[in-house]
Amino acid sequence: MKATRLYIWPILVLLSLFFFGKVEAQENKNQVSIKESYHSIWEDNVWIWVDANHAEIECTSYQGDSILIEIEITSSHIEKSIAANDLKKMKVVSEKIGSKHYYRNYIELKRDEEKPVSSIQVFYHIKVPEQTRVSIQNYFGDIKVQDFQNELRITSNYSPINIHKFSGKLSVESTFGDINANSLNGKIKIKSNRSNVAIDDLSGELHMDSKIAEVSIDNLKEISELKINATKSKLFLNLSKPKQYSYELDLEKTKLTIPESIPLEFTKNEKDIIKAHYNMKESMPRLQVELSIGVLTIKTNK
Amino acid sequence: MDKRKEILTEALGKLPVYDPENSNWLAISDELDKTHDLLQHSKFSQIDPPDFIWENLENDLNYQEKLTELPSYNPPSMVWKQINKNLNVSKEVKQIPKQINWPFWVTTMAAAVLIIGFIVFQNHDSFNLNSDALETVSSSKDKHVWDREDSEIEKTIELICSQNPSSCLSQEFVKLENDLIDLTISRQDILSQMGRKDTESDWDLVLTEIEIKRSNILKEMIKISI
Repeated sequence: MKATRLYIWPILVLLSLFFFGKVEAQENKNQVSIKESYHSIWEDNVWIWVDANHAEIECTSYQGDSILIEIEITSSHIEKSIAANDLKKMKVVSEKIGSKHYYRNYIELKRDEEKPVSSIQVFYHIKVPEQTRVSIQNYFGDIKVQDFQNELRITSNYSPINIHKFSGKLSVESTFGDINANSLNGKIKIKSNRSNVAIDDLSGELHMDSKIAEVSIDNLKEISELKINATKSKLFLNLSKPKQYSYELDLEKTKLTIPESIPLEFTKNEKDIIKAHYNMKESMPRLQVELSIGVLTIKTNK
Repeated sequence: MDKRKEILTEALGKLPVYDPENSNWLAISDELDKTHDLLQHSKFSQIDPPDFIWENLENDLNYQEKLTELPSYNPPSMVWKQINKNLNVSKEVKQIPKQINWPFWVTTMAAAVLIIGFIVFQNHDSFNLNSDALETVSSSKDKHVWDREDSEIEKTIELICSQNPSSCLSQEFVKLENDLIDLTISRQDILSQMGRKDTESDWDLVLTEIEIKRSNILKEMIKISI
């Protein structure tokens, strides 16, 4: 009986902790938000410039003629007054200079005012006509692009980037933010620093600079040129018909794996440096890889 | 007895008292001055030390000078943290009485075997060669190309924690930070190996793997902080 009592106490303590945790987790936060909506009619050469901070950005294009930008900021805290006060510190600015439309969010602090303690979330919903050019900058956050046409520039720090169905001219620069893309078609330029890149279903032209990253390109379709310049990276190219390309490889301190069906001609094959090419015809789409320190694996889909 | 004491006291009272003349005092003073002068102006013989004494002194000075010229390296702060952590752990270990806990050690060994097996399997997979593939491996002992990476990681952690200080205290964040420290220590070990041993191992490839892993961990930390 005494032993049973001894065992029951720890169980009771654990159960009470469990319920206490549950009660605490259920404690509701008060949420206050503001939403700014901007509508304008598309004009020639219009550029949308977004300079976001800690924002989740969704961008898409559609067959219409209105530019729709929505910026929503929510502030959450257990005390509603604190949430509301912190929301006041969040500012949104929009400005039109010539054909450029600027949108920006930032924190404005008065003298001796402290940073917001509430959980702040900023959302940008960008919906533009297909012929619109968009430039997005984000610092800590998340960027999602879906069904976009024409021209898009993304400069991002500490934000993952997801692109689904893009056609046109794309330029992405990312530091500490992985880039995941599928169905890219057009003139693509990617610069990644400590950001992995995964592309599935690519057509057109790709120029990539990568540093300390895992890069995988799968499902290459009609490629005119693929040029990768990488340092301290692992590159994986998965090709369905490897003989359809011409190859130019310039590798330093690199582990190379390539199918035997591509008989490379080595112009230099030394301990640390490999220079090789294959099928160098102008009519052939070119795969050009410069890699200093890392792994290059070219595989075939069998 | 009392009578004798009286006689003695009377006799002592009758003893004559003498006061020395001034000339005597002057003579004593002169003698003292002479001794003092002699001590002050005395010349001791000079002896040249043998050459080896000078050489030893010079070597010692050169050694001291060279010590001050040596470059100093500041290890990344995360390494200090890890050392501190290890010290704390060793302190804790000292306090625990030695007692063999067989089930614990058997479980630990099994876990270690599983982890090592997993790592070996992963590495084997990532560096696996196709039988139909042409493979060329190159190696390098040049470690200087890896010098800059540490500061980049540290600055990013500082930035994350300045953006959202509370997130840096979360359990999940601390766990990731510890993983990062482990990788940083492995990285330092490899860099020191590169400098010392004339090995043919693919250190650059291993370091590339480590750097990519460190980036991935840091991206997880960023995710928590947002």
